[in-house]
Amino acid sequence: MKSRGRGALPLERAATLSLALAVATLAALGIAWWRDGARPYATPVWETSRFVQLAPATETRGERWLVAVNLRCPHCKEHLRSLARRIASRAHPPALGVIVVDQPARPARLDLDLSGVSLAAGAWWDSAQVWRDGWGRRVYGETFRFDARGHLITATPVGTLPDSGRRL
Amino acid sequence: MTSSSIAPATAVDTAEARLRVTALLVATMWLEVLEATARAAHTAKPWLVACAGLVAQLAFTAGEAAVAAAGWQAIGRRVRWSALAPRLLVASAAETLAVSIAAGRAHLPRGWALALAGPRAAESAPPHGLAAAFAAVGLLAIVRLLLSAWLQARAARASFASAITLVLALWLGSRLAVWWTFDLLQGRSFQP
Repeated sequence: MKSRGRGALPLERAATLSLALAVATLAALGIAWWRDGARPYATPVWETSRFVQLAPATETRGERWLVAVNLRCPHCKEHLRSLARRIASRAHPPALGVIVVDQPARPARLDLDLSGVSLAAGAWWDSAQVWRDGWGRRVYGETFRFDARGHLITATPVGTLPDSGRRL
Repeated sequence: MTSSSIAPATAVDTAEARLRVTALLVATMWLEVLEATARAAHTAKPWLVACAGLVAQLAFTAGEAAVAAAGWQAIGRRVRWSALAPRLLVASAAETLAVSIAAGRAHLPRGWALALAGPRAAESAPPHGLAAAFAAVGLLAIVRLLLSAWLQARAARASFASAITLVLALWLGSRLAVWWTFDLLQGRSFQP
């Protein structure tokens, strides 16, 4: 039988340390997950008073589709452009709008390149972190479909048409 | 006359060498599968993506081997990390096939694809962390777990029951990590 030798000890220690680290990481993750799950978040309701207006809404009746956009996220901006193109040909398109999220300072300008498509539901800066802290949302590009009274109908990910669930 | 200092290769050495060559072949399988998957997804630089994916896969295997070695140590068996790492890579061969199926490269009927590669073979993205964590559970994932347990049991000279218990414990730990991480990253997004 081989003797253990001095060289084996650091490896054994490293293996024990890696297991301890893995268990500790899993435990920390579990605690964070449990705490987040226990935290109450509100169901999104569209109330313009909770946001800072960057561009005014030109349409206040009917459905509003508001996209949570981070100005440094190219995918959610591309999603917004795709949505705008997709609904442009409709006879009664929903009012498309933007909620600028995770933006610590008021943006100087909205560089969204919508190629002439107007944001009928306006553009709004989430200065109070309503999207993240109040509603518990974390994925950029999420599209909120609100009815005329501001009640949430659906919330869909990037690349999805909100009223059909189909891919854009 | 000179005396040779090279010891003759034993059956164990030959088996170990064969295993390492197989591990190398599995690494090339990973590279091919990842490149083809990246190409199918119209990624700009599929080879770069594949190389990054292979590095990630090897790093994951290295970490998995370190944790498994510590797990064996915890139940009173000494298995070298260098013995476990190639075995875990060989066991992941089943996963390369599952990834191909999930990427739609195998042209299988939907039922077979789901049975072999798990729910990830369906096009829809998992709605929550629990679904994401177990999206890869199919027959090929079970083959991987069984093969990993068998190879580890031989390396540790332990019973298959001990090996499968350890493999399942580590696998469940990794599934919990995926579940919780997914939920934390997604928050309440997409919930009504």
